[in-house]
Amino acid sequence: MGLSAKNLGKSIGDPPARVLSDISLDVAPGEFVALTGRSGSGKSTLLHVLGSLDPATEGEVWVEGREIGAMRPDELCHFRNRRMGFVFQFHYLLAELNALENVLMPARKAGEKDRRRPHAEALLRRFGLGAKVHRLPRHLSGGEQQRVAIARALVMEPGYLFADEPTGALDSANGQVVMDILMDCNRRLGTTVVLATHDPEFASLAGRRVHLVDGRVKAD
Amino acid sequence: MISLALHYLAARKKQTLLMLLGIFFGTASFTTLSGLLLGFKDYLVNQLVNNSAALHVEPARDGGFIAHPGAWYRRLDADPGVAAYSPQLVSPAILSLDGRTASGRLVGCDPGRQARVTTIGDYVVKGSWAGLAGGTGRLALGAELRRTLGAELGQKVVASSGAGAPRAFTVVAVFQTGVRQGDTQAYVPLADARRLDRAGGKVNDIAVRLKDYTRAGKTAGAWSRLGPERVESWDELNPSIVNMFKAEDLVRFLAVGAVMLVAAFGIYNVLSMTVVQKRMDIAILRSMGYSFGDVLALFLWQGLVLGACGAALGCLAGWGLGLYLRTVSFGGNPFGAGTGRLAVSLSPSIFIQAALLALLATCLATLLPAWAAGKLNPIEIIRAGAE
Ligand SMILES: Nc1ncnc2c1ncn2[C@@H]1O[C@H](COP(=O)(O)OP(=O)(O)OP(=O)(O)O)[C@@H](O)[C@H]1O
Ligand SMILES: [Mg+2]
Repeated sequence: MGLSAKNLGKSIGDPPARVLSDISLDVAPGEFVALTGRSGSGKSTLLHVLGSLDPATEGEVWVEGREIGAMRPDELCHFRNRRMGFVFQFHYLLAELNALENVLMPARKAGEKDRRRPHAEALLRRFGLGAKVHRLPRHLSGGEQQRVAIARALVMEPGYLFADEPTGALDSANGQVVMDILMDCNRRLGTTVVLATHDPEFASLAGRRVHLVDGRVKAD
Repeated sequence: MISLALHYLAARKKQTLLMLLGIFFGTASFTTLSGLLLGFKDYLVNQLVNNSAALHVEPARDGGFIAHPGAWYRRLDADPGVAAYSPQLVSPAILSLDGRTASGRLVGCDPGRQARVTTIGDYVVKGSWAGLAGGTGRLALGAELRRTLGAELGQKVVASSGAGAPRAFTVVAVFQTGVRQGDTQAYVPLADARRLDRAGGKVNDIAVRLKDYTRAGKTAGAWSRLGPERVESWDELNPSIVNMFKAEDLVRFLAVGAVMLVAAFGIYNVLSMTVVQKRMDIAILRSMGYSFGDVLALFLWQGLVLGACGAALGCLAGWGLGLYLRTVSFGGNPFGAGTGRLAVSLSPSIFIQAALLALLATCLATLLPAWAAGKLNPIEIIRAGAE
């Protein structure tokens, strides 16, 4: 079970440029994996492919015993909604909605907005935003915005959390807060975390490092 | 997705207002224009059909009489499509009072029958139509004739027509139809007209009211094969007006089509822009598991809300404006009804048409941007956002 990639390859663009080549990777449930590598090595691309956002051009991705490429679009949407959480370098919060409503967006899709509300509020409190749940994103600091985005990714209690340089736009103090949240989540809830980062310090906090060079796994 | 759609609309108040105004003006102008034109049409049809009946049975040649009126009466009595009919003796006449003279048409008729065939009784402004039925020597005078003669109720007007000697008639009613041709007529009981005209038991016109006036043309065709008499329907007598109605409808839809097109284009532009501005939102929604259909719905709802609100407000404004226009006095202008007021139709079909048109325009204008939004590839947006 868990997450596994089999001989994954990915080309992007027209004409196709090879970004990932022959990647095979098994991530056990509850693992904390850091994807490292230089800029342009393919970290983000691998993360998107593993997270079902981007289809692979070669090979297969299996999550919880199911092959992502074989899922129907509606199954994929449902699966993503229930099992996957994403955090990006930029928070992508909806500007019109307050922090709490943003966190509840995945629950709204699932039809569990009211049921998940206490959980959403608890997450925001735990992330030090208890007093700011009704603020619009533009009235929050960058670090706070990113924490709201993480709460949003966690509100459905997903099995997998994909984080693409979630600390990239933050100063080191805020970055550390975000890292602590991710590790806490991994340790206490058993969420499988895949983190793409080029920060060796943060990468060293992960239980496992996968180093990419030119779209290939160089060290595991 | 409705609540998020509403959030989007609320967040861009100025554009939302502009889009709303477009639909609003489109709908309001459609309802007002339609109300005016259809009101005018109703009024004219009413004038034509009800003032002088849907069908007229006339002598084979001008100046003659209907050969076998008895046969026609039996036929009309038996026909289930006939609501009422009124035999008439119509002739040109000179009316005079205190040395003033006026020429017009003298219509001899049975007042009771005439009132069932035409709406003449509704146009009586002084006296009463029923007074005409009370005996001989009485006359109902059109407003134009009354003005020329300076006649008042109860005065005696001398009428001369055809072969008989002039006779005096007491004015018992004055009517105003708003149409000159109608208002230069005078009605007298049939017997009086015959005496005046030395016409014995003859008539030269049978006015017929049908249960369904739209069947007038067909009925006229069928009846004219029955005898030597000519049978004319109101639309045959007024072909130019029927054509004008068709032209009016075309103008109405063209004018409103143009307004709606502009409104729809505005919506299309703003929503297309919104889709571009909200690419990030769309990407993150998709990453949360929202589907193509959800994103499509997000934008369709915006258009639908705009269309529905704009149409509702536009209909309301059109209705209010129509009510107001009904109170505007237009004197003797042909656009005015008999009351001298503007005739404005507020028929529900106008508002239903307007609302459907507005919704159709917004849906079409929304569909393209919404589809484009649904088709956006979230990963391309996220990849681009990271650069
Ligand atoms: N649209 C595109 N067309 C062609 N090549 C692309 C496109 N987008 C990305 N690439 C290439 O894919 C490769 C991998 O990109 P990716 O974003 O996965 O790298 P990364 O390791 O995440 O880099 P960074 O640390 O800068 O985020 C890069 O070499 C990049 O040039
Ligand atoms: Mg990257």
